[in-house]
Amino acid sequence: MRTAILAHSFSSAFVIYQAVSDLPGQDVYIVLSPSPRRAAVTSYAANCARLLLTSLKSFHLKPLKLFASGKLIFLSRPLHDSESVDTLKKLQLDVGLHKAGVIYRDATINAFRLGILNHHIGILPAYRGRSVMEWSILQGDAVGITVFFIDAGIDTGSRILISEAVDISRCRSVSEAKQFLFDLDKVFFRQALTILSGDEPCFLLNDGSGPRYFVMSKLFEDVVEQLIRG
Amino acid sequence: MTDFVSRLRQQLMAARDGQQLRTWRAPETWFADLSDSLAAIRALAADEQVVCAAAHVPDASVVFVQLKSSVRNAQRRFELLTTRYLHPLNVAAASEQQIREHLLERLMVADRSRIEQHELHLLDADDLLLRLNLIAIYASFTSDLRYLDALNYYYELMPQAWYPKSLHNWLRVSFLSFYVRALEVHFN
Repeated sequence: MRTAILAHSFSSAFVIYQAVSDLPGQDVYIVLSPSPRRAAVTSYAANCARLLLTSLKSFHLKPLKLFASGKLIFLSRPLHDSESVDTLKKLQLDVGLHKAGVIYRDATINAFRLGILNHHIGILPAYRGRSVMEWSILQGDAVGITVFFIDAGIDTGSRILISEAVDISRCRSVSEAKQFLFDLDKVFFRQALTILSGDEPCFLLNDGSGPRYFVMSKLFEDVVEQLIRG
Repeated sequence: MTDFVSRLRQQLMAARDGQQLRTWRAPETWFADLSDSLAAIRALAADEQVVCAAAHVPDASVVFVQLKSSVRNAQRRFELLTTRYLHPLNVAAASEQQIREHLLERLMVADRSRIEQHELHLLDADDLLLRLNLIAIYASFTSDLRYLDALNYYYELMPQAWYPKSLHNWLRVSFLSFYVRALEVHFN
């Protein structure tokens, strides 16, 4: 299976790469697109620096080997740009792993045979949108992770691969809990790719029936903070 | 404006002293149009009586499409909403679910983002405040906390010294009145 990690930053993509690249039958690429907040040249320079630093810090050549083998791709334009879409198509990828801060358009999604997987820190279809961990806690519902194939909407992709409650009782603040859930992406992406490599992966239906949540006010965030602290 | 603020102050002082706010009734289907949407908003904000006579619900789908197609035309949107909600409590009607979600989403995504990027001056104040007022009215009827939290968010977000040079800047004051009511409904 040919998989690409889609990211803006090499460091965040490499964490995922390390978690999934040893799975049997996986051919993993890292595709870096320019950060929306930076010029393409600056993004490229920053990622080259990160690549070198990662190699030096961990005393191994894996990042440099990745670059030399052509499996580290630098896009000069955003992921939705036709030039970027053409590059993705040429790679003949099966699955994308979402690690970039963008909303994907259909052309980008369709460049992958199966689609792009998202690691969402809320249970779908009930909790889609922003601040979903906080909203789940505020409303007394389970906190968890959903891995699903995205579409061009906000958490409306219909094929859910994994939906699982996660215990955050050891976390002492909202930010700690959120970071804990975000950091589980490497675990859940690995699990998702394992499922997809199986004979007949089955999907749960995201029927989009849940409301879209929005960023939470400080007032309610404080309430959630108190709830987490018990 | 001064008279309206005085009326609101009296009403809020009375509420603070424990006087119950008038209970609003949600329309079972639709309330008959009043003559002036903005005058009705002022009356509701000041906790005054408004006539609520049942009527047939007009088609919501056309307005929804028109609203969506006029996201870059604030004046048109203002007209659409003041015409649709000649009786402002109709925003709580079951038929208005799609419109309410649209208004909430615009406030909490596009408008919020612009305000956070210090571009409040680029938004049409009357249009923004009217939508905020309608959402605030609905927040008193629903247990869906997203609506109440939109009010929380805007209360925290709006610069305190924001005095928009707009035709209906009193909508900022009526918003506060509806916000107080929504908080009371949810927490008392």
